[in-house]
Amino acid sequence: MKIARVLVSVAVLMIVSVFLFLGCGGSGRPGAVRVTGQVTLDGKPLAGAAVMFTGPEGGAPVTAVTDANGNFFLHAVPGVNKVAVAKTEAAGGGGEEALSPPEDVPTVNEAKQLIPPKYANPATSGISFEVKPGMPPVKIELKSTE
Amino acid sequence: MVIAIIGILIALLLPAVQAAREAARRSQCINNLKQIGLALHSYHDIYGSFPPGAVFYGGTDYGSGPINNRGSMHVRLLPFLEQQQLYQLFDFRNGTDNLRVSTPFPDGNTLLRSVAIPVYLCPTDNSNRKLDTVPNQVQVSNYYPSMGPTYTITDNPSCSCPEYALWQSYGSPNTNNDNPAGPFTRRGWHFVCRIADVPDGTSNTIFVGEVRADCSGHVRAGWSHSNKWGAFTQIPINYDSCYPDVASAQAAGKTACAARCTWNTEVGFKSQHPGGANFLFGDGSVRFISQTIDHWTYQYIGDRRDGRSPSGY
Repeated sequence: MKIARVLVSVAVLMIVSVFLFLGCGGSGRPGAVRVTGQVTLDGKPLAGAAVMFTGPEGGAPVTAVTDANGNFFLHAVPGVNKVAVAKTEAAGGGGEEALSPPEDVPTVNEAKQLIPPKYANPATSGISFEVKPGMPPVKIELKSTE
Repeated sequence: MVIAIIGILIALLLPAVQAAREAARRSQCINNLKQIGLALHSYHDIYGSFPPGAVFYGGTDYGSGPINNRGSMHVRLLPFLEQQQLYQLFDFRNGTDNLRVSTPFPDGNTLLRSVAIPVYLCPTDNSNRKLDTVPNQVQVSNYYPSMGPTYTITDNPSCSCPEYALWQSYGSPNTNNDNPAGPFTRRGWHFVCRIADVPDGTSNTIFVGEVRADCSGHVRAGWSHSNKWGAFTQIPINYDSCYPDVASAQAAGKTACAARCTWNTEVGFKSQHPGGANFLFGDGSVRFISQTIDHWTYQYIGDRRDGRSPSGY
């Protein structure tokens, strides 16, 4: 029975240590905060727009696409995030496993932007938010003309 | 009682065994990248440049007119990876993507793209096993040449991801398929990279990185295909583009950007190693880069000549 006791204590130790290690794993985005918000263009909800938050200390940007009411959510790193928004012409459709065609000369690749292109770049959009836990939904109000 | 405890201990041991197995697979995966690095430099020693990322279109071979579909970088590296015999079966006078040969394979009518090349497969990626059964007999590669932050990232009209305009904003100015920010492009002989074309230094520039067939229609075209686009650093490492089509992405509450048909989010570097992916730099070194790397730093090490050589990532 002595052996059994030793085994039990070893087992308990191992279980405890497993939980300790689990605490350090996860998404690789520690402390990310759920951000909800709405994008509007000239006061009207903007559907199908891509939204990007860039963290305060770099890291990979996080993205979302707005729904029919212009709403989105994503998980961003706390701190001041520069924000970019883009809406491009979409042909929509099926999504077969087609491969890109050979005719893609550079001019074809230029995004056909439906809102001012300055918003598509976090450096020129002029939009930023401080991300923190418990923050209210953000309002991203875009204008089609200056 | 004792049996139960032993059972618990075994249950505890299993994850450790799995971790050890992944460590072995990762080691093999890194070793493959190093082999590819050696092959690239052997090629450079002989031809005075690295091979083209792919000869999808543009440029001429054998002095004839414009020709398309003359194979990937992976085809041209075969002689430097102890695959000389396979390489000699490629007849570059015609398109090679669907090339069949009658000998020496037993069935007398074999697609060259269906031959598995072990050094092109990362054992960590579980899409490899499934691809044994994909139609059209394609064997894939887990390693893709890098285009770096080349501006001309694009969008699939039938699988449109509106994020692509955002990713373009990280592109390097005045770059395109003929003049890529990274060392490779599918634009064939219009651009082949020499060591002299990497002023940032080969040790500071990504040459090749990991990709997953489950997450990219282009990767699924196989190791020999000439539409091996090259991956862009504008797409964050391990961005999830692994849904087979738009419908399945939307059924999971995601957008089209999570489908592997977008021509933008799909052509980023991805792996199943936890937290990042392995990259071959131009000097032959292999580094694991975290998927939380600063996104501008990632662009700087993707770009061969932006004048920035960041360290400590």
